[in-house]
Amino acid sequence: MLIYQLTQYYRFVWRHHSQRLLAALVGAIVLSGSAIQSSEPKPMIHWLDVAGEGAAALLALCWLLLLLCARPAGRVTNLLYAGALLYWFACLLDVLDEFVRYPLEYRLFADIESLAIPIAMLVVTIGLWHWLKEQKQINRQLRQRELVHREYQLLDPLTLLYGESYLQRQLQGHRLRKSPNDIELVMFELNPPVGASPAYAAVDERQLKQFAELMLSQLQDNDVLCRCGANRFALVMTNVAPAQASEQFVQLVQQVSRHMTINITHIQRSWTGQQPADSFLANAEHALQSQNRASTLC
Amino acid sequence: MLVPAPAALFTSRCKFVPPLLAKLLYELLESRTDDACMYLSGTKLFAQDFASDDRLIAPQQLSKLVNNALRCADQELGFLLGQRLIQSSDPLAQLLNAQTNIIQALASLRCYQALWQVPIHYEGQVSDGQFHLNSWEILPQHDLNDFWRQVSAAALSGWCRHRQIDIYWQLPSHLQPQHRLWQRYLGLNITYGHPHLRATMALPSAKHQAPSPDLTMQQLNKQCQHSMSKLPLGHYILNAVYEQLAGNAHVSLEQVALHFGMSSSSLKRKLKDEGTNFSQLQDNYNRHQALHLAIDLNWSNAQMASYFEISDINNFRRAFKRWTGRNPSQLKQA
Repeated sequence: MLIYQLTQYYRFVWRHHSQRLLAALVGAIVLSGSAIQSSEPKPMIHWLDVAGEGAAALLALCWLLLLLCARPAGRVTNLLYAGALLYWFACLLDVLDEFVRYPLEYRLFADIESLAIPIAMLVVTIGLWHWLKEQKQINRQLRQRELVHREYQLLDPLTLLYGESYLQRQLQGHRLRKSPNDIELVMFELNPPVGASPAYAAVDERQLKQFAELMLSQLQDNDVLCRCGANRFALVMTNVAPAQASEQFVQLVQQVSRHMTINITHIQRSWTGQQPADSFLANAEHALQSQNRASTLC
Repeated sequence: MLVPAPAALFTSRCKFVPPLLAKLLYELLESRTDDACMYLSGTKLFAQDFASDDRLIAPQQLSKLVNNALRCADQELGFLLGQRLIQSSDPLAQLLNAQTNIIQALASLRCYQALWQVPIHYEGQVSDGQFHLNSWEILPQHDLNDFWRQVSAAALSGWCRHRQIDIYWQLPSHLQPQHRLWQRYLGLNITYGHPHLRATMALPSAKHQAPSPDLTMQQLNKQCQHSMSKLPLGHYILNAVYEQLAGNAHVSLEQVALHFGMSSSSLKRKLKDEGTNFSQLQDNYNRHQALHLAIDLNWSNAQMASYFEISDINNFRRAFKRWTGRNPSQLKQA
C-alpha cells in the first residue's frame, strides 16, 4: 500500500508540477556539476560534517517534494516552492564544500551558499503570509464543520464532517476552558422514509452525504455539525438558549425537508460541563436510541 | 457418522468465491476516498474485475482486501458491508429477505453458503423456549474475525429489525470498549462475556410463519440454484473439516484425510498453509460444544465427559479448561 501511495504522489507531482520538478533537478545537477568542475578536492574530509549537512540537504529535498505533493499550482505554492528550492540548493552546496574547495577568485558558489538561506527564508515567509490569507478563506469554508481544533484523523471519511471523538474532545476542552452555559446539543438520527419497503428500508450513503451538505448549507456560522456514526448526527449550537435551539433545529429540518424526504428522530440536551463529555454523549445517544425504538414500535 | 466428502477441496488460494463481498466492500471504500484503488494493492484485483459477477476470486484475495480496508478511518465498514449484503440484489439476499422465520433463513443460508462464502460458521440451538444463533469464525487470522463478526451481526440485525424481532446479543468481552459502535447497529440489548457472537430470540418469533407466496420462494430458490451452478463444485477446506467435526466430534485426522481421499500428511500440509492445524480446529469446535452443554443445557461434568468420550473426569476438566480457558464450575458460577 505504501508503494502504491508513493506512486500516486509521484503521478500527482508529475501531472501538476512536472516543470517545477524538472527545473529543480536540472538546477541541482548544473549547480553541483559546475561546483565540482571548478573546484579542487579537499585533502581531508570530516565525515561527521558530511553526515550532518547531507542529512539536512536530504530533508530539505523531502520538504520540497512534500510541498509539491500537497499543493495544487498557484501563487502560494510558487512562493513556497521557490523558497524551499533555494534552501535545498544552499544545503547542497554546503554538502559539496565538505568534499571540494571552492576557488577563492570565483565567489559565486560561496556567495550562493551564504546568501541563499536568508533569501530562501524571506521567500518562504512571504509565501507563508499569503498562505495565512488563503487559510483564512478555507477556514470560512470549514466553519460549520469544526470548532477551534483541527485533527484530520478524526474526520468521517464519508461526509467529511468530524466524528464523535472530535465532538467529545471539543466538549471536554470547552468544559475545561470556561463555564459552558450556552451549549446545546441536538443529537438526531436520519431514519428511512416512512412507507419505504421494509426489506430495503435504509438510508443509503448518497442520501447521508446529500443530507450533510444540505444541513451545512442551512446552518448558522457558530453551529457545528458532526456525524456520530451510522445515520446519527450531532449538532452543537453555541450561544443559544434551549428553547431557541429547539426552534432553530425545527426550522433547519423544515428547510432541509424542502430538498429531500427526511424522517428524523431527535433529542436535545444542554451541556453544563458537570459530567464527563463521553458519558454525556453516551447518555444522549442512549436516549436517542430509546426514543427511536419507541417510535418504531408505535 | 461422517458427512459425505465434497467433490473438491479448495484452499484459500483457489479462486472459487463469487466477488460480491469484495465488490460491495470496494464500493464502500470508493465513497470514502478519492482513490479506492489504493486498497486493492497486493490483492491482485483490479477495479474492472468487479464489473463482472462471473469472475471468481480467492479467499486470500478477499482477506487481503479486508486487511487493507481496515486501514480506512471508518470503523463501521464491517457493519455497513453486512447491511449492504442483506439489502443487495443478490439472489441469496433476496431469498433471505423473502423468508419469514430465522430457522428457514438459516437453512437457506447453509444451503447456498457458497454464494457468499462469509467465513463464519453458524449454528442454531433451542433451549428454554429461546432460539440461540451462535456464530464463530473459521479463519485463523484473528485480526479479521472482528470484521466478519460485524458483517454477520449487521446482516442479521437488519434482517430481524424489519420483521420486528427482538434480539438479545451476547458478544465477546474484548468488544466491550467498542460498545457504542455495536450498540448503534445492534440496538440496546447487548451483554458481554460470551466467548463468541450469539443472538438470542424468543422461539415463537424464530418459528414465526407468515404467509409467503410459494411461487416467489420457488423462483428465488431457482435463481440461487442457477447462481450455484456457475460455481465450481467443492468446499473450502476449513469449512469441510468443520462439517466433518459437526458430524462426529471425535473423528481423527486420519479418518478425515481418508474421507477426503488424501494422506494425513497432505491434509496436515494443506491446513498448515491455511495457518492452522487439525487439533486447533477440533479444540475450537469442542469449545463451542462444551460451552453449549455447560451453559445452555446445564449438563453435569459426568454427562459432558461421557459426551466427549473421556473416561476420567479429571482429564475432562483439564480438557475443558484447555478449550474454554475456565473450569466447568467456574464457568457455571460466572
